[in-house]
Amino acid sequence: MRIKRLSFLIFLLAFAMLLTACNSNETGSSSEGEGGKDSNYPERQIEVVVGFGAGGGSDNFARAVTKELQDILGVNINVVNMPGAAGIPSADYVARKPADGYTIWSMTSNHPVNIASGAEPNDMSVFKSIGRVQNDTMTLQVKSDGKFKDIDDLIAQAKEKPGEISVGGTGAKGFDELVLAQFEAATGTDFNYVSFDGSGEMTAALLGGHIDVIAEEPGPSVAQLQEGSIKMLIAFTDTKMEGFEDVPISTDLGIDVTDGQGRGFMVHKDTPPEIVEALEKALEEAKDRPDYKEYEKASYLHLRDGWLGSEEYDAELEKLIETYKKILEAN
Amino acid sequence: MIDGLLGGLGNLLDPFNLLILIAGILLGFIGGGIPGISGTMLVIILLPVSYAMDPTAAFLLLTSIYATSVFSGSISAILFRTPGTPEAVATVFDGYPMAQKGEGGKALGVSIFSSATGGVIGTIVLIFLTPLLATFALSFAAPEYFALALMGLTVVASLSAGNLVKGFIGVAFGLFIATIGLDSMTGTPRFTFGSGQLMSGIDFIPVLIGLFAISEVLRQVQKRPRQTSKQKVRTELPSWGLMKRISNVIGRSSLLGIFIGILPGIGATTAAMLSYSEAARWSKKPEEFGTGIPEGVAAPESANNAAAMGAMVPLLSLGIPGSATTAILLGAFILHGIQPGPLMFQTQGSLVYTILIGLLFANLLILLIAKPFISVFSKILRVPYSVIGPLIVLFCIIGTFAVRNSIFDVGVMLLFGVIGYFLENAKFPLAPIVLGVVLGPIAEDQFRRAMQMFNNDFTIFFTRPISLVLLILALISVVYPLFKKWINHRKAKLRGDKNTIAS
Repeated sequence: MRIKRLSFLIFLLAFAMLLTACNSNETGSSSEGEGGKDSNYPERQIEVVVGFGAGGGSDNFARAVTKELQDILGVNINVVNMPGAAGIPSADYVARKPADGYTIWSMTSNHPVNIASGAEPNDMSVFKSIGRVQNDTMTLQVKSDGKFKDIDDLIAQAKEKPGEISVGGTGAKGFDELVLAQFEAATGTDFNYVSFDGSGEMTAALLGGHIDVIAEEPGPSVAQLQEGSIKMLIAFTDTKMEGFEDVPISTDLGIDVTDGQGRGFMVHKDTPPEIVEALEKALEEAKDRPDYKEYEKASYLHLRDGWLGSEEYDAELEKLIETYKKILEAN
Repeated sequence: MIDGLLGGLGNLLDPFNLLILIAGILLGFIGGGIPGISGTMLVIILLPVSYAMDPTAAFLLLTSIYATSVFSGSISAILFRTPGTPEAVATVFDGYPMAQKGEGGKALGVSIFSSATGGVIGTIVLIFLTPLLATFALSFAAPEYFALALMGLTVVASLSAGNLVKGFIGVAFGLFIATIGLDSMTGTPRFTFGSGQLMSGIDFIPVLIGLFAISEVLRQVQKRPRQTSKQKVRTELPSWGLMKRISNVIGRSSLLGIFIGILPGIGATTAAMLSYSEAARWSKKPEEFGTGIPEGVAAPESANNAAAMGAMVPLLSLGIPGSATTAILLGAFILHGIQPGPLMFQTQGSLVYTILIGLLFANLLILLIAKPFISVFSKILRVPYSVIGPLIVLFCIIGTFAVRNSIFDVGVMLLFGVIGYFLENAKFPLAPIVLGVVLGPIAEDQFRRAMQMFNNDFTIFFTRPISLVLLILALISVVYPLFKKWINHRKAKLRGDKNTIAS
């Protein structure tokens, strides 16, 4: 009997050790930057880390680009999903990996938002952009037979009843909410922001008449836009959108808000410059390939050219963080 | 519509398409049967393969995997207390006790029969009522979601195996676990202690696998190894009498399952959990739930298959995914150049009807193929536990890791294994904890979303008819047992008084 109990205790102990092994983070010291002169990069499999679940917009994007990169770079590329907390854990994971270009982070505009709000400890001193591939367009959409005729009507009604018109967006303190805050500041209005987990539930809430407006890109609700049950009131961009030519754009209305959900790739800051360059070149080639173009068109992501190179995107992100910080402070 | 269905049948009977359908069913069976591989994962894995096919074959493959993996998750849930897929979580509650009583074969038979029936009812509703149901689903918003989750939580009394206090502690613990991580309404970190890993919260899958599967392995290793030559499991489809006994539960649970599946953002796992609670609530002997009764297997199994079909309703008619897997299917449609939505029945009628007929077949074929499949699967039971036990732990680790590629989750899973072991030794029922973990986030998020939507006006829960009805049901289920107790108490007292007078 005693032996049995003892062996069980040993088993538990072994279990506990396994547990602690799980908790101790892999501390592959990140600043080593294995083997300085990687002229023949890449030599082995690359990992692309996505901070959102499989099947979502960001995941589809990463996979569509990865398919082309694989072909261009001639190595296998694995897409790994680490969903949760607006991408913060995935950034943490990439930041801890060696700075050798074999772990790439597929990021979105949530990153500058997270840095501005203070939720993201891995700021611009930790990552280096490879490039921005997409720049989606944010729009405000309402039910076609609802109470808003056009954007002027919406603004007028919002001024009449401040805080009463509800606007749905995905995420809390995320990109959608910040664009809405910019719109509010520019028009002197005040809306009631309602955060949703995903665009599906949000679109359903709009169709059911439970919320008044949604802040959304054209892609997720394109079925309703085509059918005519939902209409677009405004697009936050400075150029007319193909297929939505009659939708007013923000710059025409004197509203200087053109931020779109951007999607791109980053690596650790200490990655050798020649590797960043090689990746930047490969990425620029990938986004112009026909298969990728076709995916962009099918997902309604082709409406404006999103390409920014490594240096430009870094500069753009710095600028965005400053803007977002100001908005967050003002709120 | 009849033309469309006949056309769909014609497409399906094309030898290549039929072959693809059967391949999908078998893949779904195997994937769902192996703990750690969920239907969602299989669909993702096969997505690139499907791009090379024409849309009809591609979607027959993906949807048949989707339909059948929901069923086969129950096999390891019943035999090893290890849910093969998240949807099989509630099947563990009664399936495993049945297997321990030597009724494993019967439990599997009930699972096959209920899954197939639930799936077929779900598909028939999907075929005939899609536009109607889609409109109905739209009348649900945050207040109704909250009321629904609250109603599910109030059933804790029936799930706490006779000990109400421990049941409430369990639910509270589950609800607490659900609050860890970034607050989804304001982004504020809660109980994260500065850890980046805890920010994304504790996923319910590691908790569930730990509490049930790992704790059971811990218990088994303490037993003497002699009882390895376990009973031989012979899958038997339910007898006529048993079928009649569970037909009510299956009917109710299927309808509830479809209905929950239709709601965007709530999937088959929640449907299984809620229909298990409801089956216990409406049962004449709720205290028997959790002890190994066929109703406890029939309810979640019919509901999860029905819900899987229900989740196709908003996908096909609105282009809005009702669950995680349908979100991936939506992506697949788009990459095939097809936009699901209000216009899909007109523009892609032939494809839609072929998919619907394919789903009907897939669910029917569960009845035919499951039995031989399980007989192969249950040979594993003859392997000594000293081999099986470590393999279960291994699969649990892989399965947990695969959900979010997180080693941290594996640690959480193992920790909950130890917690589950000690809780059960202390006769703590585990079902209420799972109830709290699964329904907690829905209840909290939807309550707060409702408050956001209606400017903190509490009265909306009572002025919106659907929400009011659900809340009244919840109230009744809390008050009724207490009331019944009081009545019984009075009766006994009256009788006692009479007796004293008589003597």
